[in-house]
Amino acid sequence: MSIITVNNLTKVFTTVEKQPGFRGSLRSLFKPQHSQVEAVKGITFSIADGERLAFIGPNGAGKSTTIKMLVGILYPSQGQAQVLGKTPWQERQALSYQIGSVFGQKSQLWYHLPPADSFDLLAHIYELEPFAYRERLAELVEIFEVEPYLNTPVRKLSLGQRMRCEIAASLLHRPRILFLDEPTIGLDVVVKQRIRDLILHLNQEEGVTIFLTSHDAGDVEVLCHRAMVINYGAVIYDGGVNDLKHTYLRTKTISLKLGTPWRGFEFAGVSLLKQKGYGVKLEVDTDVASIESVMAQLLSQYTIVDINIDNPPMESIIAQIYERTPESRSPAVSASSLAVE
Amino acid sequence: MAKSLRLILMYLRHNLMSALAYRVAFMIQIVGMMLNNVMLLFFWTVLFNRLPTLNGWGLEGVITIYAIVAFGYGVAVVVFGNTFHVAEVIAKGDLDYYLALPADPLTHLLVSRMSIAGWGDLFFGLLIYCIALPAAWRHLPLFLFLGLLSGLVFVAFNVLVGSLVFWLGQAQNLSSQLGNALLTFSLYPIDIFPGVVRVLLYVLIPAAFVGSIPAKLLMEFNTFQLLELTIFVIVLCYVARLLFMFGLRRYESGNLVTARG
Repeated sequence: MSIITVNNLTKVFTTVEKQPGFRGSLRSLFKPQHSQVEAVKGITFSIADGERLAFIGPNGAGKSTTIKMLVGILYPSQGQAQVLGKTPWQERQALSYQIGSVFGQKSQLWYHLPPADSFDLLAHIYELEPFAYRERLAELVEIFEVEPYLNTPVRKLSLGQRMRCEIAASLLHRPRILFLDEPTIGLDVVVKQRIRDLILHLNQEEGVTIFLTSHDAGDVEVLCHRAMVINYGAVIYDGGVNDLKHTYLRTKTISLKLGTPWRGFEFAGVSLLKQKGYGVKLEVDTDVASIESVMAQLLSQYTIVDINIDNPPMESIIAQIYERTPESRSPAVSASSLAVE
Repeated sequence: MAKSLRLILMYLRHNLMSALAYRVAFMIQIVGMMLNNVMLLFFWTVLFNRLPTLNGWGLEGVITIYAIVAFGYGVAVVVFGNTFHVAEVIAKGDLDYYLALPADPLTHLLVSRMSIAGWGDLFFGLLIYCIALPAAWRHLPLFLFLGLLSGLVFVAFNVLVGSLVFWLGQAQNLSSQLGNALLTFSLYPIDIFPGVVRVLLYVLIPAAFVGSIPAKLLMEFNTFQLLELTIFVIVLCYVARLLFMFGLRRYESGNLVTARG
């Protein structure tokens, strides 16, 4: 069953073009030249109940604009959308009782007050029954393990603690869809993992549909089973994360700090990216060589002081997708056609 | 309506709790603002030492105006602390937060900040009214009601000019200048201005409705005029709200938080 259907959704922003310099400013004052920027260009998709969707794309691709239209914050210029059977921008208030949103960069907690006070306020705004609220809060406090700092002012919390409270706050009213805009931004690896676990738990235990944007390949990989790539306002990939992964996440980089001088390394599927003194960076094609075998070989040949294994950044995965789509306006490529390429 | 009232009270409580996290700063700001207001009023006492009346207004009239405006302004910025920040919130894209929640976005936006110094204005207005004017306590309910009306004029007018941002894109300066002009002009008796300016202060910037008209009503009560004023305020609030809600269709949100003017 579709929980979100979007049909030809378009958003056009009008901006005033200005030539550089003071003269340009004067000219734009008397003779403004308007230009239309199509932030979202007629996108169409649907999401089923209980899906975990990663909505990815570079900065300015139209991700936030799309989310804001789905939440009802922005009016579209054209097209339709149905979220839980409602048109967001027309039934914004009714819809807000059933969806939750977490914007990594915009807090909904009171900075100078403890999270418990913010939770209370939100409970009032959502008009929750006092008893049901207390029960729900106890449940969330347990899942998110926020008990120890429930009464500490938010300004004294670490980013990770704050983010957990932030997500808990958006779940008080038991939303059926959760929109997350970069929930792991700025978090350390351990906390990132914890947040991912929690989001996964929500999806599996409570059946909450997850709509997530992130620049973190890890978020997409661990959390989602479906990915949608958007750029220049158009959907250019819509398919399984596994297909995306197999097609594009084929390489990993290994950064090494050696205890002995570099003498070269011959291994099928491994290429040298950079080498300076005792620092070495290798690229491993995981289709050809497993990380395990490469590591074993490396350890047998060198003394290793430090080691890092990374996925290529999301940005470079997307860049690869662009290389395969000749025009940014070409229709969405399905997972299957990408896989055969 | 009942929902909005509950929201207002909830936020009043939370804003106070948040402000009281820094008790000393809280007290200093309130006392500082009261002293500031005393200085302003002091200049008028000097003036009225030299001449008895100014176009029919004496010291008592001016004190009444100050009491009403200070109290009304205090109510506006304490309860509806974002009154003077509407344009800024819209232009920065901070409406997102209010639009994502089920509460009424305009009320929610207005109440979600509290000016602490505003408590100073509020107390100052109440105090000089009770202390400086003879038999003032007898009209206290009327004073409170008129103060509330004048506060609502502040709120509605600022929502009105703040909503210009929806159409003009960058109107924070314009709207804050208009908002401040309302405050500045409201503190002078309307009759000291020449005819054209006076008309402007009734029509363009409703300063007369904030200070002089309620002050006159307090000094010389007239049921019909009170009714007129009340209806005017209700209509103004309604129009402001209508304009804001209409503007929401044009809201552009944005991540332009750090853009420089």
